[in-house]
Amino acid sequence: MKKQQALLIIKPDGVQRGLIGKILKRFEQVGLTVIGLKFYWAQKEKIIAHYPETEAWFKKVGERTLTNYVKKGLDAKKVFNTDDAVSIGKIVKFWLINYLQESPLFFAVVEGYEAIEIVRKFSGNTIPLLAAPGTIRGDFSHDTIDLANEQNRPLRNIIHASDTIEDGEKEVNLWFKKDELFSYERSEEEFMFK
Amino acid sequence: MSKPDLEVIKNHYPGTPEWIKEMGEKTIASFKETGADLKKQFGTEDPNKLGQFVYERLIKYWQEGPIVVMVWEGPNAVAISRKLRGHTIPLLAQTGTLHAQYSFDSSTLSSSLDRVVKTFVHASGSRDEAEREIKYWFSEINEFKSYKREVDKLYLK
Repeated sequence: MKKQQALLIIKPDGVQRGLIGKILKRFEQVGLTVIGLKFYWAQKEKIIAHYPETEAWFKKVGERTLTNYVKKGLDAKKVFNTDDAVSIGKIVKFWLINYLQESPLFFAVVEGYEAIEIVRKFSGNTIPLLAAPGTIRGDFSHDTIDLANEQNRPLRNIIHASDTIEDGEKEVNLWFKKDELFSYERSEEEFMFK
Repeated sequence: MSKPDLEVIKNHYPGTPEWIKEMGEKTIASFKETGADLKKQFGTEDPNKLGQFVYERLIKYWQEGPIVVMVWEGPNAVAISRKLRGHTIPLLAQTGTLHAQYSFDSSTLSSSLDRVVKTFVHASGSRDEAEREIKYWFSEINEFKSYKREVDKLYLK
């Protein structure tokens, strides 16, 4: 089996609440290898490029949002003025772009077997209120869409984690140069995987 | 995260003859603390020679893998970092400090294995040192654009 790479971004609420160490600890603890780290105010253009501009991506995000609205018994049409998944996906992207410019961002690339599945599992449902306990979003936040809408602000969900192997590759390449990534072996690999 | 060249690591330290001598003296003191025989281990008790020897091993240790360099800001940041890091030699560090929590390395153990003590966290020792080191490692940044933290509201207002 081949190792995978996943990008993690600790978003402004995670940074400003001082959660960087607590979050990174969880990925280190499970056994993923941190192979790249950086911390800075990201440029708007880079953030725009981070989220795909494709119809398929907008649809995926829109549908995910719609499903969550149904779960919470909310009327998506009232918030977005539409119930079309693609249009909703576009609005969500606009929110995200503003949100990610509120403070410096902490970027980490983690590597390991099944890294993508692990980072998704550990991050939890994108809406913190719906995220299971034991996940980063479930343990450190209870933010939810209706509250965010009421206060006219983006939903703050602490962390971004790559969704698929392909996204992982694309995102790692966007934020990190080749010479900013370091391959090395963690001491427990000898006992676990050999 | 980065993997600096040998020269970059070397120049992180002042490297002056006085500094090298001080390193040697620190090594002598740490051996005294643990009651180990310095001469038996290194074949010399001259602080200048010992300092140079430790300096070279230290650079080698820094190159074992990538490192993470970071800057922390806040009231008394230097004193706090040093306090939380603990004694340079993990075995002698107080419980609750990083060095005591995650390591038991010591001068005697490390020299018996022909390596430097793995002091896995470096923290600037004084404000002057911090200023010099920050300029050195983050030479491309003229000004750190600060941001608000939750804790500011509770303690800094």
